[in-house]
Amino acid sequence: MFIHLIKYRFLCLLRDKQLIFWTLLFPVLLATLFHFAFSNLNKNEILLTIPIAVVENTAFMEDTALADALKAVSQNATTSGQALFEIQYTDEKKAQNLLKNNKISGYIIRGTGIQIYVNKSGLDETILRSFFNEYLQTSATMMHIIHADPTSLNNGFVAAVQSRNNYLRDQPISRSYPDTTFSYFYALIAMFCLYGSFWGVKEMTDTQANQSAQGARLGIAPVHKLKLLIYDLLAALVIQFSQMLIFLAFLRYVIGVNYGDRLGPILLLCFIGSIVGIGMGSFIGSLITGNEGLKIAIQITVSMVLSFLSGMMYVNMKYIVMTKAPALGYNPATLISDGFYALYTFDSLSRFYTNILWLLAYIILFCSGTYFVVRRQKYASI
Amino acid sequence: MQVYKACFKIIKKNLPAMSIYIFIFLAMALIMSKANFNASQEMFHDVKVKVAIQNDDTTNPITEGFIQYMKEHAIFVDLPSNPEKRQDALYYRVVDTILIIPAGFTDALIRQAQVSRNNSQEVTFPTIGKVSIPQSNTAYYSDLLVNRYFETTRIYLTFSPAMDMEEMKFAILNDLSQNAETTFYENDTTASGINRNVYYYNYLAYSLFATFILGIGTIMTVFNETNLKNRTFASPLKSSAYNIQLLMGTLSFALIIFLGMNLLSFALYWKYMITLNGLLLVLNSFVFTLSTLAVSFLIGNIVKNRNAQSAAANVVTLGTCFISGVFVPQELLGKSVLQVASFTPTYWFVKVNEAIGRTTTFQWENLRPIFGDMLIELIFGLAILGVTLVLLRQRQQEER
Repeated sequence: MFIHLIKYRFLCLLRDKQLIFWTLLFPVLLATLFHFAFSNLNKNEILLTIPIAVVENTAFMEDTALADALKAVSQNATTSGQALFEIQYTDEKKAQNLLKNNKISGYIIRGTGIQIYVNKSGLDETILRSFFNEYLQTSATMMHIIHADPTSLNNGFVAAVQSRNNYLRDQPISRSYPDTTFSYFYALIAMFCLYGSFWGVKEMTDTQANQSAQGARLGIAPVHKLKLLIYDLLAALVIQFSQMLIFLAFLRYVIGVNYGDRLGPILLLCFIGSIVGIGMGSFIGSLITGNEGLKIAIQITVSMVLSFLSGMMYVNMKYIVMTKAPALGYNPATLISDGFYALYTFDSLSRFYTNILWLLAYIILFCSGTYFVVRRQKYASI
Repeated sequence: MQVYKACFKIIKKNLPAMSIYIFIFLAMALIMSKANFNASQEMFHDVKVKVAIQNDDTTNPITEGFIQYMKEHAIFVDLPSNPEKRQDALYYRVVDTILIIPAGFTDALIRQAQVSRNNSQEVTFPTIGKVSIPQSNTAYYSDLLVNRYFETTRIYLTFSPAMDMEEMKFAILNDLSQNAETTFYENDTTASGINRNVYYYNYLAYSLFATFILGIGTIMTVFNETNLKNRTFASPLKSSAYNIQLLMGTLSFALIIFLGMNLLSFALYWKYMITLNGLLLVLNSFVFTLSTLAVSFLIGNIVKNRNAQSAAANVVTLGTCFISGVFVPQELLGKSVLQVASFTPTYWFVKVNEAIGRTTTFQWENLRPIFGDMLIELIFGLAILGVTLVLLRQRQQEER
């Protein structure tokens, strides 16, 4: 009996093309679009070599110290060994043209001071300016000290001023690179889980005698209703969890989303997430006795609002919710996406398991809620 | 007029499904109107990185000076209380760099400076801890600032050891206030002009497209239903009259949506809208309305199933909006993505909107590319309409 019921329910669900679209293809499509749209987002904050131009005039030619300093940073200036500036030495006219066509971030003219020309107030321009500020600031310090005590010049002053020291050391606190774009995908996985509610809604429509002809037929079948419900939901869970694995593999291998390397907890989270989604669907499906369209509209709206709170449309939304309105953060979508985030970021699993416990509480809520609504329903006439 | 009236009956019945897209749009438009945008700038100003500082050392002139210096060049963010919260703040870029000054840092700095004065050998100076985003430009810039301050301090400590600490703090801050003169070669064009209404119109691409596909799709499905079609053909209504009424029906529907959305933009951004830029935006959205109508007409005729239509509406609108720069600005999208996007009207719509936003002087030289791109948008619409008409003609012949 078990095999028979589960098999036919399975076929029944798999043949519903519309459901497969919403629960699998639609998230895959969104993931692909996210990938196209967000792939350049991180590039904005990575330090790249800044193209600049220096006007070669007599003042510049005479200032060998400046030329040496520029030479030094156009080789390996940063910790990763890349050059800070890519410098073109040219005349003023050409430099203006380069700036006009956005080929360089700015150009400098050595006169009595240093003149910098840029097109906008960006971070590259700020770094450029900061570099030349340093040059002026060091001169000011030297003048100040020599003025106060001319004998300092004898104590290896110039060499000491020119030596460079580092006053910083890295204290990394994260397991991995804090890649914000992953958060969009974690929120998308949360949406995927909640879209599992499509199965739950369908389950309720198909088994409730007052909602579909099929439900009416099942109502007169000599099978225990609870047993039937559990078998059916099991079939839905198998499909949803398999789709979840496909989706995760797609994100990992096609899109390149990183979840960290702890496979066990990842699968646990996905499994629990799938149950939460289906549970939520059944709960909505049993609570609302209107037509199927209304149920689906409510279920999509709930899923979307929760996904929004977990940062699917605007990634910092999750942070805003967690710091400004922490109570709102305990919704299923945020808990799931935060679970992925915690696995990716922290060594300790405590935050992850806290999320899992909350999700289990939701499962209990949804399942018992559904049970109390649908138990002992009898229809004198439909 | 029966056909024309029937169009509106159909729309009325399907209003709930379509209103979802209008509500999503309204929510986005309201959020956008609350968001802050850079005003146009005429002076160069340094970009400020977001920094949090934890001072475990004593409060002395050197650390005080350091914090004062950083306050001038960075935005101070409240220090999150525990490592987990710090990680969250860093991950969501609420803070770019967290600096931790260890206990005894100042004493060690003074000591080592004296060692280096008496002894020309290499001396290692104490370090402060930093938590930042690896290899980022913000981290590099905050490194520059920190090293700059302590390098200057070191020089003073080494060569003016007798100087009073307070006096030294002022000397350091004074030296560090020297700035290279920086001017704009041309006025900053990237931040200026792009007003909120441009974002509003960009988002319009999403809701206009979605409502059109759903609305026109539904009308088409109803009228293409075989039994109903046969009944209409058997009626004394002329086929041309039938077609014209249907056309007028869909056009009126589109016009109502178009007017509604534009009225809302006038209500929200009156000041920006009663400018030439605003009028150009309205014109561009009208052109976009025409070309998306053609696409919706095509989809309505190809996709017969109502459920499949709502799937198609999502795929087409979300797809084009993502790759054309509605949700993520075009300059952040990859080149190949934009190349694909240039085969959709949405891409040209967004491109024209942003060009309009940047326009400050209305000379033919500036307006020509804008009208050129609008023309491409329109030609797209005409081409798709042509394809649809050929398709319909073929189908009619098959049916006969």
